[in-house]
Amino acid sequence: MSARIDLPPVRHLGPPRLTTGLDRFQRLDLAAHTRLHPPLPRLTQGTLLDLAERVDLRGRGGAGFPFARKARAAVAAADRTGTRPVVVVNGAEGEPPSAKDRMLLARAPHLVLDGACLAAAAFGAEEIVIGVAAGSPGEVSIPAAIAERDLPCPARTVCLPERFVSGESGALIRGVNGLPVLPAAVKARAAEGGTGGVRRRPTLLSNAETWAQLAVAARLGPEAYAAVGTDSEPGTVLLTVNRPGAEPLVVEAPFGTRLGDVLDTGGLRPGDGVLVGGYHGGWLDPVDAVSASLSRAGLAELGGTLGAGAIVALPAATCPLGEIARVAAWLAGQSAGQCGPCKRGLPDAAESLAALATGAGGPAELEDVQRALGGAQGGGACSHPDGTARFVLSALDVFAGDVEAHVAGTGCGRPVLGVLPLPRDEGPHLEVDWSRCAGHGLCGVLAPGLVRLGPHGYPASTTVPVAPWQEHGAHRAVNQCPALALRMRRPERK
Amino acid sequence: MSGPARVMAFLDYFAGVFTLLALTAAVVCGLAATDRLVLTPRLRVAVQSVHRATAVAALGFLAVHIAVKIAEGHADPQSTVLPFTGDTALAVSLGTIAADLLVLVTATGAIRGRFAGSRHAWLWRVMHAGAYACWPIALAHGLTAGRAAHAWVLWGYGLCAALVALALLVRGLSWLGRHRTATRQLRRSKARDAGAPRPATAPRRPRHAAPPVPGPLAPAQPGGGL
Repeated sequence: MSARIDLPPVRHLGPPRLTTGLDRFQRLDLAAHTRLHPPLPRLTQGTLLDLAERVDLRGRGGAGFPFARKARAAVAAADRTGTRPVVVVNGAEGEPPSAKDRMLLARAPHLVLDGACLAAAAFGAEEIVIGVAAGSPGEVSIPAAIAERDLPCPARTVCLPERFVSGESGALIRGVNGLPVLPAAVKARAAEGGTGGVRRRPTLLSNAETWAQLAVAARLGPEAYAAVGTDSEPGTVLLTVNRPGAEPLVVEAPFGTRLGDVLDTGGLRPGDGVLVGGYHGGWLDPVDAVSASLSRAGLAELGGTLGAGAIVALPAATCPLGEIARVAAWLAGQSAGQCGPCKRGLPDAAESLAALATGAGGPAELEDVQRALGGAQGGGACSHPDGTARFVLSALDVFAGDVEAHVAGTGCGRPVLGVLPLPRDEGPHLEVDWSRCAGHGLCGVLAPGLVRLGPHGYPASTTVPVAPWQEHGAHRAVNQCPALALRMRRPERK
Repeated sequence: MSGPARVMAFLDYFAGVFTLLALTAAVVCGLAATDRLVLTPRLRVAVQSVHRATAVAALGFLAVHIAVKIAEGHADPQSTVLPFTGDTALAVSLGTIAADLLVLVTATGAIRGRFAGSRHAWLWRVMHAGAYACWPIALAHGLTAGRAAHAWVLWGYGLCAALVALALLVRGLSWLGRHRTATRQLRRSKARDAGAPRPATAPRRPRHAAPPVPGPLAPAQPGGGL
């Protein structure tokens, strides 16, 4: 584990709250934590719900669902069924441009646990479960933190595979329950218990930052908490500023801060466009972006979303469409492969985008992208197709000039620098041996979502990344290729 | 006759027949699945699936056939693996050879994907082509070792054999044609690279093909009709 990359650096605009002490300490162990933060008050069920309502605490994982409403539902379900609820911390941050939860779990684990313990004590919880991404520093930091503090109930850490959909709340709970870490096929509210909850208990799940914010609000009280931020959205928010060629920077800023100031903190210029909200977020025009107010309302005005607070600025030196196509292909591969929109819509859109990016596409491909994503919206068990559609469609809007150049056929002539962060590709690939391939076309039948045949009946690309749900089809294609021209290649793991 | 005894008698009578039928179907489907003229890719996948299913069925029937013959004392275990051991008749030993080949060929089919990843894909073709030796031997065994067959049975197998032979001939000739074109082109481009004078006699070409490329400056056309 290389500590340099795993512990993201931190800055703050305005007062440090979640980031208190992180300018001096790599990680706040219990001793440092108690020195820096005043003792945690004990809250009753009523005062906790009241506090969450008065500061309008919302889920910081991207959806922005009011915490108080979620908590009330869980408490009501617990009373009704006579069971004790389970408190879950979602720290399985699957989004490559976001590092804030990873940072919190690694560097300020006790603040997150404070929030979870407050709720667990107030609601009489049965246990606390902390879901972390396998291989992330939280895997070590959280058990260490649990071991050195007092807890109102048992707590355990659950490691989840590092995938984009692992961070979806339903998928996380399924993972905690020992099921495949995929979004639940039939929607069930975690707060209601039943199949949607951990061990069928009413489950109160929130993002790691939400729990840390709750701990901060409990210490400060609602008035002091609202001293910064906007009237409708008090308090601070954690943002991840992605810098090309450097590790991401986590910035704590009050709601309503200008996006331009945050970009300055990271030493970035808006370039050709700014992405706010990660790979399920929207792109902003560089002119709008600088003066945009970082709040849910401020970004909604510009057609954007705050999401999980991940920010990427696209420098002018890179080809926007190429960057988008790269991420779209990755997002298509990261889906669980459960529902139609993800199984068909996203790969179709990614394929057409790739054709556009290389200059091989025309107006028909552009229409294909819009149609595929338009059709994908609103369907599916989770928000993956909707989020991906927002990401791509807003990009087509903001980079309209570049898209025009690509549709015309010549392209923009800029290289694809890979500014949008993606994890190292560790999955298997399907490779074509062109000296053997004779264009039989069986692979196109055996693995339709994977191998696309070009106009002459040969596979359209030489290497195709294979998502876990596509492996069966890929193996069939390898085994049944009449020319023995396909093979699976797995990159060697470290 | 009691139940188990009747089952035994049935298997004694038919397991071998079913093996031969399944093997015939596997060979015919395997060959048919390579066809590109009539079958669409989708149908070829289906025929390949039938090929695999019948091959597995053949293996299963073979196991039953051998087990029954051993159980009834018609064959000793050693001679079902090694041909020409003990005092087995030639007709029975043919069956042993065919059985060994069938197991080998089915095994190569099962690990086909491994060969696709290696440089020795041709090795797989050679080994899997053992089926074309296995099947006639199995036919000979089936028609000579047991009871005398009806005339229509002979005609049926004869027809299958003729069709397979024809298809194989077409496949072999087309492969040979491609191979010869490739080597000829390779030789010509090598000669051109070395700056060697062109041979005085122009290479023979089919009447319908395009005239030879004029000068040494014209680009080579890989996969062209020459």
